[in-house]
Amino acid sequence: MSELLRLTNLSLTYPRQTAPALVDITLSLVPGEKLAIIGESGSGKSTLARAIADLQPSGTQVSGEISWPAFGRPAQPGVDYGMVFQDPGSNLNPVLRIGEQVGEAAQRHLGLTWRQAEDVALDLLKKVQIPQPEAALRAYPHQFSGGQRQRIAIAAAIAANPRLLIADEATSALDTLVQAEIARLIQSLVTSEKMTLLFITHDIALASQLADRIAVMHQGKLVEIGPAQTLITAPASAYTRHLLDTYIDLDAAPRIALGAS
Amino acid sequence: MSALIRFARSPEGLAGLVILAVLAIVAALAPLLFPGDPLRIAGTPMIAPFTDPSLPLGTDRLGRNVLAGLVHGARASLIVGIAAAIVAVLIGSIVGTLAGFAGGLIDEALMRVVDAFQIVPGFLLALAFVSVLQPSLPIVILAIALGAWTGPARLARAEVLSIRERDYVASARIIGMHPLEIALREVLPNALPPVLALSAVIVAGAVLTEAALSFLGLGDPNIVTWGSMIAEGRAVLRSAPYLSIVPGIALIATVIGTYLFGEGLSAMLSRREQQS
Amino acid sequence: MNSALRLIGRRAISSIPVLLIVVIGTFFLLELAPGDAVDAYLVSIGGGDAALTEQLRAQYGLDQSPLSRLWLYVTALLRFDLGWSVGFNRPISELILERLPNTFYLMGSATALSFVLGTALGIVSGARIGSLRDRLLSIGSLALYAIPSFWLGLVLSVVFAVQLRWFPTSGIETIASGKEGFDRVLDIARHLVLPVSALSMIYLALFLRVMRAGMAEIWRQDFVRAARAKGITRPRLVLRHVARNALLPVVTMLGLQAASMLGGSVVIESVFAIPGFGRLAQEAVGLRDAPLLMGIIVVSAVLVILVNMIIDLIYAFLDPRVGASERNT
Repeated sequence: MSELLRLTNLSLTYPRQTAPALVDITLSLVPGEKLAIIGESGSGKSTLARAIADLQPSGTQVSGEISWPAFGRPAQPGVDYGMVFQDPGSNLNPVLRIGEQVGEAAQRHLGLTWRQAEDVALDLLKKVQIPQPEAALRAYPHQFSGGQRQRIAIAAAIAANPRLLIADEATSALDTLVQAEIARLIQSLVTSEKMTLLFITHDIALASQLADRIAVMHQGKLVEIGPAQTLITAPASAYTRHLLDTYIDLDAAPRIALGAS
Repeated sequence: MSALIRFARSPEGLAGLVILAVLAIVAALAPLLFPGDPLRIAGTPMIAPFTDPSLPLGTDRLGRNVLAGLVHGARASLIVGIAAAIVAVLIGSIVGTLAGFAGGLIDEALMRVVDAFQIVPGFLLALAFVSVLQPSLPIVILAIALGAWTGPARLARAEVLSIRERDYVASARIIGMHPLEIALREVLPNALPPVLALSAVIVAGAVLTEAALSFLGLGDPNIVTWGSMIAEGRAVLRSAPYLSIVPGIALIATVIGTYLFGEGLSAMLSRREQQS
Repeated sequence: MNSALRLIGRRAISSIPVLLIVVIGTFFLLELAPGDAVDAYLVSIGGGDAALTEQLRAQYGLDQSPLSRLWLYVTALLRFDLGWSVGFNRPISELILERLPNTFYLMGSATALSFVLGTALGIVSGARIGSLRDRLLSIGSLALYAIPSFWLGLVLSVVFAVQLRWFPTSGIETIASGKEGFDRVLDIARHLVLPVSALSMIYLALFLRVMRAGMAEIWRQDFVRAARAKGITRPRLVLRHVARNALLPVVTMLGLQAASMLGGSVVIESVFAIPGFGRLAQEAVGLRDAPLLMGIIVVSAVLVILVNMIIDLIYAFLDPRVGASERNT
């Protein structure tokens, strides 16, 4: 089975900046796997996610290669990959109804009418466990809580059945209990919809519980990448060891059990 | 220093500065370039421009020197524009700061007054004001300022409300500074930058309002203004349209210069990085 | 809908003290004038003796103290009685009502034109910030913004009315033409082309700039990035996501400019000799008719309040978050 995504020597510098945000990144994504990218603020992990999703600002200098061997062509946003962002306060268009926002990717990519797209949206809202989904279709973002908005954003991202879900710090701005719910939801959706998951986080505990593989980034460079359990218990690089020492408490019970829900 | 560099980096600000500098110099040199009263008869009426070297832009229908009128008119426009803006910003800042600082009933009452000045069209208010009192330059300035002070007032109040709760105000209170002193020493200087950026817009508006008032014959009758020149030229619009057109172009240039300068000021005062 | 109506109700109630301030303020401002409408009238009829002056003053109630006159005025206002115009020798309400429609045609058309065109061009500009057409439109809008409307009116008059004879130079319709129905509408429209063009340019530039600035802000928002990541078409992204949100500050600006446009109509009506409400203000100044001027200012204030109420309704319709704090969701 060919790789879903392959990055080769990817480097990136933002416009009007001298120091590069990404330095020589080489990694690949296997279909069906869950890869976590961890690092501190400014390590370049979000930049990497956005580079993959082709969302960098104009004038950004990019060198190296992003290829999608499984597709044999550049990936299309919405239909090949979907993305969820960090801030539930601003992740949804405040003046459009939920039904329209959740369904628009389906309408665009699956050749549906708006009526049919709304049915798809209803289905998705049920999958992400939004209460009273029929009423929710006609409601507006400000009527929902942060956790619910993030669920809606996830529903909107997967509306056109993309193969890859990119979650850029999707749980970081939520309360702890809600974080766990959303992480559980992402995990179950990725399994049931047979998607590949790339998620960015600074939360090592979350990464260790959710991911198959973990990549560690520091100052724009890929420091280490390997199977989750191996990396956590026996990190190869000194930086990873330092990171683990600072954040993780190995004695704490995992917040999400593997394979649950 | 970095603020000045930021200003120098904005091409709009520099362009505006150049235009305004030229205007200011011309206005300042007016009595030297064209001594005497520009409203006096300088030659035969309706001399065309570029025909008589001593009257480069010709004369109007009463025989007055058009170029002298233009140059002296620059003085009137700049003086009225800047003075009206200063008065408006002064009144507005004081009222706005008071309202924001005092809060409660005083704030409510002051804001109703601001509302009242805002719903009456500024030009109508200026009209009424000028018609009640003798139309002289100071009265025109005051009339225009009365229509323009509400913007700075709201802005100052908003800034004060946001700054009021910040730490350095609390520390000032703790060391026992009198509230009024806090208002003047700590809050006002920080609230001023956005108000200053607004000032350029006020100056531009004041120049246009003054021109409109003079055009209607409600300006100071003893001085020449571009508005009055346009009104004068209206009588011979079919035969000599340039008499009305040229002062208008001067107005346009002044307003553009002012506005660009204001953009430069905004660039200088804003600390946010521009990202696309 | 209910929350919108409640918004209107609250706005109406809070407008009453403001209107009162306007009435009282204007009254005392006009008190400062040396001489009153009777003086002006006497000058226009070539003078009169003291007895005539006293009689006229008593007749028009101008001999009482300022406070009692103010009280009489306010109570009359509640009956929609704006007093008597000495200069025109007619009830002021009647005079104003007669002149208002012409100004409505002028202002209504100018508002519609400047809003629609300004917003559309603003979207074109804001769709690609920093592009060539964005820069050109920015320069163009700055130039338009700087042009004095009365001067533009004169220029348009010279070019299109005098030289090309495409449009009439003045008035609101051909006098005593006896036109009816659609012909009359067309006639009025022809007369309005130049004045509306002159009046609307500044506001067109303003709406353009506000729309563009709004869009520049919205482009930075997270939900726009999320919409891009969904792969929706560019027109949908620009119109349904970015412009739809940037429309809100433009609508707000529309409300704020209502007063300004009413003032602008004074000069335009003067340039094009349109017998409207704005022109009436100028005539009132010339006739030193303080009650008429007062009536004009009060009516203007009421009009601005009404327009702002309508804008509030429109805004509430466009922004679902308005009034949300009152709902129990």
